[in-house]
Amino acid sequence: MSSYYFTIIGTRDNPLYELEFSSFKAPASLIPGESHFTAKVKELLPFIANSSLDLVEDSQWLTPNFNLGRIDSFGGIWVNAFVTQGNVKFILCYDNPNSNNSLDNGISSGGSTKYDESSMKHFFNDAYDLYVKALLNPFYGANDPLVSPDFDYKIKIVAKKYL
Amino acid sequence: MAIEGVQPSAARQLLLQHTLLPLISIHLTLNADALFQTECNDTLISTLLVLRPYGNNARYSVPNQSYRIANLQLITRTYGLFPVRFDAPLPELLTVHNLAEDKKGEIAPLFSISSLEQLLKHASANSRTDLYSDMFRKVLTSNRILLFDTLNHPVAHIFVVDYATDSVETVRQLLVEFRNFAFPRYFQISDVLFHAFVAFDSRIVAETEVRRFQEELRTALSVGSSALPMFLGVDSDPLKVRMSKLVDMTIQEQVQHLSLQHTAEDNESIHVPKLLDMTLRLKIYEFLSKVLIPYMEQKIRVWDDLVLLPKKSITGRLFSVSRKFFNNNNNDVTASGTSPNTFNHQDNYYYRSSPEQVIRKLADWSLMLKDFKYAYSTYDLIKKDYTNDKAWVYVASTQELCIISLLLAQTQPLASDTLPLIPDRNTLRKIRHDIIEPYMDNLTYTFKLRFNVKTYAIRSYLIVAELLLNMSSMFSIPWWWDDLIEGYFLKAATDIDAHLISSGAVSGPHVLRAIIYERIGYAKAIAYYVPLEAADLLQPVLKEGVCVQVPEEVEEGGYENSAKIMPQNDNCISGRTRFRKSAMWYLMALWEWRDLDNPHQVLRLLQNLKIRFNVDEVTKNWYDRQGMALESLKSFCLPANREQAS
Repeated sequence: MSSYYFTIIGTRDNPLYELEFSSFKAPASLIPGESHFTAKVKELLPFIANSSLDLVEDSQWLTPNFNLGRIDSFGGIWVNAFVTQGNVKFILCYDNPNSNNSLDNGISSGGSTKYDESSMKHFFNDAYDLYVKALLNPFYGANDPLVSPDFDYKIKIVAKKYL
Repeated sequence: MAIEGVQPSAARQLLLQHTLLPLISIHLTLNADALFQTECNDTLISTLLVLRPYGNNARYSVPNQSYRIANLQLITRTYGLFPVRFDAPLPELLTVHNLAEDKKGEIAPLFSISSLEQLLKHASANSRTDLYSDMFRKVLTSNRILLFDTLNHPVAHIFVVDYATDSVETVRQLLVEFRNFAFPRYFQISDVLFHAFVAFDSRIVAETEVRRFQEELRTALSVGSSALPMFLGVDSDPLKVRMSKLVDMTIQEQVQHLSLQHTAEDNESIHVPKLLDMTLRLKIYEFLSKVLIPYMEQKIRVWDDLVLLPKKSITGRLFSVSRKFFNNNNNDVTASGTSPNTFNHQDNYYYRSSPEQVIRKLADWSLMLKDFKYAYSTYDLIKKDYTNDKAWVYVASTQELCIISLLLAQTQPLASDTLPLIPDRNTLRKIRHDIIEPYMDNLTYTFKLRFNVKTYAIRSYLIVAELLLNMSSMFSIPWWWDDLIEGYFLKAATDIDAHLISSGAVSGPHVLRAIIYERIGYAKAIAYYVPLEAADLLQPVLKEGVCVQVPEEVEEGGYENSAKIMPQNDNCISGRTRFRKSAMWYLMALWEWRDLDNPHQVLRLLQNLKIRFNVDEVTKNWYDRQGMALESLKSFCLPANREQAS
């Protein structure tokens, strides 16, 4: 079952929002939506998302779309990205259950599986709507962490809907 | 805030100084050995140990040293250095490496991965320096005599004799012994240059007498020689030069050296009297520039005329085509190895005098003489013959050298003060898609699956990745190779992992992985996607790291927007660097070092993260959150940090 790590990264590489979850489409585990990343991978996920920013910044000028698609992979973790007009980045890291590569046993290149790129695109678009609504809040400052429980709840609903 | 690491150009030099250079075997008499031991005042050393460091004439040079090398077009180029390797006599090398391993067409591993791991673990214990150059040097240094390449076949054989006690008869005896040795069938003894170093006590013997002896050697045995005066001013000048014993030691030799640690205090160096040091430098320079280089040039010309040109000619091509199509009925002859000019499928070698083996040697020697373009065209030509003969290991080795010679040719300076030109897009595309990628896939398949020798594949991955990195940084074109470089380093790391785990040598973290991850981090850090002419844009970031620009001061009474988000100083090169990627790989290396319980390496490597992260203190930034990778590393380093500060 795929696990996901979604983060919104501000203009100074600072994470504004983070969420770990697993696919709701696969057979339910004990706790629905609980991520299955190992402790080592969990420790590294923010750095994997951060390291992909180099490629996000590079490829954002090559396409007119906000959704950049799959831009990076690191040790069996794949990275999809979305850029907003305010240069805030949405990063979605997810593991590849069919790959033997693992950060726990050293990194190798390769591995492939089919993921529904369009569902990720929809997820990013809906998350962007929610982010813009949060941004419209007069009490919210740019680059501040998004700590609203309502925002968190709605993102989880969107994640459940598409992923 | 510069990123520390072995410069790619230095790695290129290491390749030229440890692999692509002539090997000279040293054969000495006991009396000559005793003479050197007396002069160096050390009974545990051998002459070979004294001579070995002088092969590296970049370090042990003479004033105004220059080597003139003429290529086949008679264009002469001058080089400041021409390194060579001094090693044990060929019979000894062949005996040590146990020829039985290679006999049935099987190839023995190039080096022991677990020994390399053991060596580097030992070296890293108290080291605060980057170990990549040590690892790369060890992977490159090998004196294994291979059947499919002639880089380790000695170009010259030097007899070191003592004038006072050894006679012409002694040299004759040594020569006869050498010639009568049962060399493998792929080794051509007639290509070896024989030379003698006549050592003499300058306090007792006059130089004219030695000259007479040299003349006798020339007339009786046709062996050229150099006089080596010893004990020059030994009483008046007590100065000694310290030389390392570990120079050019292979992995096995160094492991042996470690396990046989003698009781002597200073076991890793020898002390050579200053005047002997000067004499050796001068004599070796004279030998190389006046004897060895002309000999190699002449041989190359002869082989080119007698073997290569006829092969390239129209009749030669017709002959090879007819041989290909009408040679089906003599398979039994080939298999039994009785036909010397064809490939021996049973024992997997070409006979020493076969045109394929001679042309391969011609290409190898051209590479040693730095004629990379000619070497490339020759490798490319001979590769087709090897493929027709299904001599897969020869094909793999030739493909590796095709890539190496091509990349060396592209990065070779046009003159001593003129940098090479940046290749155009079509050339780069051809190099990548038509040469490097298919050849690497092919050769690693051959080494790993056909012959089950991963070590050759690992060496190829590392060498090609380094040469690509050098080319990438020299022309500032990382977008051509960045993914290839990372891929090849990772493949090397994966193969090493697989070997160490399957052999049971290491199951958890290991030094080799840490070092390779660190190298990937360095390769990413110097991948600037900025054209050479705009390199100035990088300076603020390299100098101060990535930081927020300070807002301009507003005039008194003017409006100041306190909510304005100021841009960072990397705004104009955003997306043009890979510092974050580099930090990720450094982090992976740091984890390995932490799991290996090596705070010194962690402390050193943390400094390379400075461009993106504040590593000097625990901050309130996202990367220092409790339980995060960097925070745990910082807390791991604290005791070592304190120790260093104190």
